Amino acid sequence: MIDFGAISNNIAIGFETAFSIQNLFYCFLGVFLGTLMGVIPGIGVLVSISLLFPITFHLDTVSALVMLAGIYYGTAYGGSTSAILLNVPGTPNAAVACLDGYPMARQGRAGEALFMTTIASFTGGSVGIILMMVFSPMIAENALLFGSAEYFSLMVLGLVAASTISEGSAVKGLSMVVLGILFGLVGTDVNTGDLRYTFGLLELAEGISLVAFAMGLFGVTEIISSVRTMRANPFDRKAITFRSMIPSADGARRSVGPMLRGSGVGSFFGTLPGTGSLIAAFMAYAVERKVARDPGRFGKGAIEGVVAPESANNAADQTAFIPTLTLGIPGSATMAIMLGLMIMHGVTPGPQLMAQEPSLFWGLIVSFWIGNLLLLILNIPLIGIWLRLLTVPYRFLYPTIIMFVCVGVFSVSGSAFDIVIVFVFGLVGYVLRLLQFPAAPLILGFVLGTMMEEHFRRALLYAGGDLLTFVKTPVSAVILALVVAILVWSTVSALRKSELKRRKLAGGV
Amino acid sequence: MLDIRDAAIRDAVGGTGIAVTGAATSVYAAVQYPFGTLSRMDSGFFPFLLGLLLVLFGVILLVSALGRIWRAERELSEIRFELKPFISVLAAVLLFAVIARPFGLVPAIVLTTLTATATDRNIRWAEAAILAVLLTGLSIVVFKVLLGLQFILFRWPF
Repeated sequence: MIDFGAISNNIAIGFETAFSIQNLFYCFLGVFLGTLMGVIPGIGVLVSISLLFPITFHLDTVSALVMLAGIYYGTAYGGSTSAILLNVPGTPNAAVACLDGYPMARQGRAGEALFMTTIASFTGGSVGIILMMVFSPMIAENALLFGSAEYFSLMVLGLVAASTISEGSAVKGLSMVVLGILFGLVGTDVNTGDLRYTFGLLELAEGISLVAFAMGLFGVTEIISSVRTMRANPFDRKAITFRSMIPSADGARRSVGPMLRGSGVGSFFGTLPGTGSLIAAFMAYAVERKVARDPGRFGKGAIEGVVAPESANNAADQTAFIPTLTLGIPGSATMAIMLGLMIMHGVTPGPQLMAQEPSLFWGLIVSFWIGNLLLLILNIPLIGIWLRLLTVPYRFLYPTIIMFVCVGVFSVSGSAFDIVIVFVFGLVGYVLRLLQFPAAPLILGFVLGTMMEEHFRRALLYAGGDLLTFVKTPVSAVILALVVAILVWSTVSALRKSELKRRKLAGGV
Repeated sequence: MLDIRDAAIRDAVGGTGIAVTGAATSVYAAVQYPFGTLSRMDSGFFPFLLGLLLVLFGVILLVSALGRIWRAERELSEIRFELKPFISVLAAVLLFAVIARPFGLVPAIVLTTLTATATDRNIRWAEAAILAVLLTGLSIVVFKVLLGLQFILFRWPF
């Protein structure tokens, strides 16, 4: 049952933590910088978090996490601004906002679209946070009973789902997961103290740096592929006045239903591994088209087509934290990096976190809310700054990003070796992109790698080497059955797809 | 021909790469690290298994790609190898790694910025120079003044 007394008690604990002047300031700073990054086309949540991580590195744990979370949803929010104004999503997740947002801007309704996006983000985010507050304690309580076999199976499920459900070839996704795990294993083996795959390099004894790894794979790779292609579309900055942002009564009325439906759809998809906010946004868009009386308006500037995906997007961004914080198992690359950075700050998410550090856990959740509120307050008056940023040509932006990558990585460890790591994974990442291997599963595998090995070893140690231990406990057996189902499903659909293609080719010639 | 716009060619190259990486990983684990037993795994066990998985995935990719090449199914997509930014951006990062410690932050940032923009015809030399100065100032303000980190700005190691 839902225990409302406990929830209000938890909220009280959270408010106490989050409402210190210091944490409010870092929440604000995170949201501000996150939005700034999100507005810049080509910088996704992942790059933004790793780029700004050095700033949080020297803060105390709670402030650092509050700021990281602020960066996270600030970036997610900022992405839709450039999608609406330029038809270029600032983050890949904001792609759906282009569909109706850009047509609205072309009709001179950019202000209205931006305003309603802000409201929709806040609504979606709030719904997501409420669900988090209700469900996190229940999940964590049950997860406390999990042993290593269950954890191992859950991680396999998360990784398999995340790498096969998204677009592209499932085999490619799976091979990236395994490669990621192997990169994660580099360094000292905690059980035996052996140095693995360090090839005599002392700098690798503590493993490959997560930040350098992510910056190379995502930041550098992205810059290389956008230097030539990124061109800013002109837009009319003067047309977006404060007055133009006030939505029409008709637009506001039309938006209520889509926002709530979008929040629901988004919350559901956010918790699943591998789906994430982009799929949530597409689903919400599809739902709105289905329920609309006149679906013909979609794609031509329908306000429903902007607010529903945007609220879904933000709800999913929040509920994605549920498995990450309660089980310690991230469902997306972005959550993986959040998890990795939390561990670097000395906090290990998982079922024990809520019990052992309630003030940190609930403080974080309340700060999510404050962050969403700040976004709402910030973005309406500050929209002018973001618009100005959008007029800065990319040729000035990308050297700036490269500089921040280098100085940032250098500031975390003070070692030039980590910048060489950025270089190596920039190279690897670009080659993988050319060959169309997805990079996101690499990060997931990388972060979960050592934990997975640890649970695999421990489960088999307790079972005396009996591999059947993974199917002997009911929870683990059910999870592994799901894994098999996903694998079978993706194999069948891949075969069917290639069969269709072959037939089309044969018929077409 | 190695035409990376063709999906089958890409998968054949990628599959081979994955399989070779997997094989190398497993062999290295088998030679270098002890295996232990299932109930007491040593450091070589898990990476050895993962290497085998990579070989499996790589072979699947390769076989399916060779099948498509054999049947001459061509599926072209718009992928371009951006040689110029590939060289200048990566060189810029590597240059920073080499310069930052012995010579200090300022020369590193200036040279990194100039290198990163060196092959970009859209940016004029003077613009790049001004940008380099601005970025040096910005990073000093952000990292040294605001974050209070100890960076050495200039150094002459000789």
